[in-house]
Amino acid sequence: MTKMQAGAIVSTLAVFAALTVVFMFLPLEAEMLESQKIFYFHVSFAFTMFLACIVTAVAGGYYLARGCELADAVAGASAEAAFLFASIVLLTGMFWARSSWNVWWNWEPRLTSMLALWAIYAGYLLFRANARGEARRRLASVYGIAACVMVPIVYYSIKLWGGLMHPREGTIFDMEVSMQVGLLISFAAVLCVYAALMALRARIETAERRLESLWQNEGRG
Amino acid sequence: MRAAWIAFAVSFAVCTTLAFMTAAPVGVSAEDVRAEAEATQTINPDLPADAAIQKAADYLEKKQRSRLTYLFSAYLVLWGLLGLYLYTLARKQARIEAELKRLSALWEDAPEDSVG
Repeated sequence: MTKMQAGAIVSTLAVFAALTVVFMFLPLEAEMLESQKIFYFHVSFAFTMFLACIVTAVAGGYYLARGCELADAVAGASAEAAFLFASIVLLTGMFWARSSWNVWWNWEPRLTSMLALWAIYAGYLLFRANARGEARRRLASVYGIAACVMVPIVYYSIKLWGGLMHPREGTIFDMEVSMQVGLLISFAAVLCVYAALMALRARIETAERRLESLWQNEGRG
Repeated sequence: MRAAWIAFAVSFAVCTTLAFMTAAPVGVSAEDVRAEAEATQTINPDLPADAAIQKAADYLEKKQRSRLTYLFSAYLVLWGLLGLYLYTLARKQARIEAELKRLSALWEDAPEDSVG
């Protein structure tokens, strides 16, 4: 069994466990009822997206400091995951908002800053897609580090500027124990998915680079 | 890549099955219907009790269907985006494999002394 296959199996089992707990065992929340079950994956993807943004910045910093090609591949893979997860968070959040508050979208600080983060990482991926050569890759790393500034902005936007849909006070530790357990299991599952996707993407990126250098050698030969 | 696709398909199948199983046992409770019927009769006192209960049950069932639709749609979007991403990765990998084949064919065709 390869590492990739093992990663896929672990991710599947983790997602299976999370879905079973969320759908079969957790009670319905009193106010939002069934639609509240979106919360478990919505929040888990949001936290994992924050982690992906931080990994992009740290790996980019390592590439700048040491010139390690693998670190650059990891930064790119993690940024793709951050963009994908930000898209999931935005879209699942819209369905939840429509179901619970009868609106698809409003321009409260959390949603606006989240949309800005999504756009910034879209820009990063576009820039990176055309980043050939070391100088441009280094610039992409600087972009990745700068983009990470959005993580605390999104996280603290509610506390700083208020909001209508997201709770201003309270943390995960203030929730019911059953909800905490559900969220923890969902978070673990999404982390596994993130790790598996990132490993797969970094491997493809490394293969692409080897191929590129082989073509260059072929051209010279 | 095949392992990732299998993992995705299995997870999606589980998600869909569980989503349908969730909808089945959760019914609109009698207390909720009674409370909603009382609220309806407060607004419209001329409405007979049977009609108020029927109206309240219909309203609560409609609201529940709507919540389940949004829940299912959110999960469908989640799986759709993950599937789309896996598809782009699969295409990238297929392109790399095709290029590798081209490159190895070039090397096989090249004279011995020009390789390396």
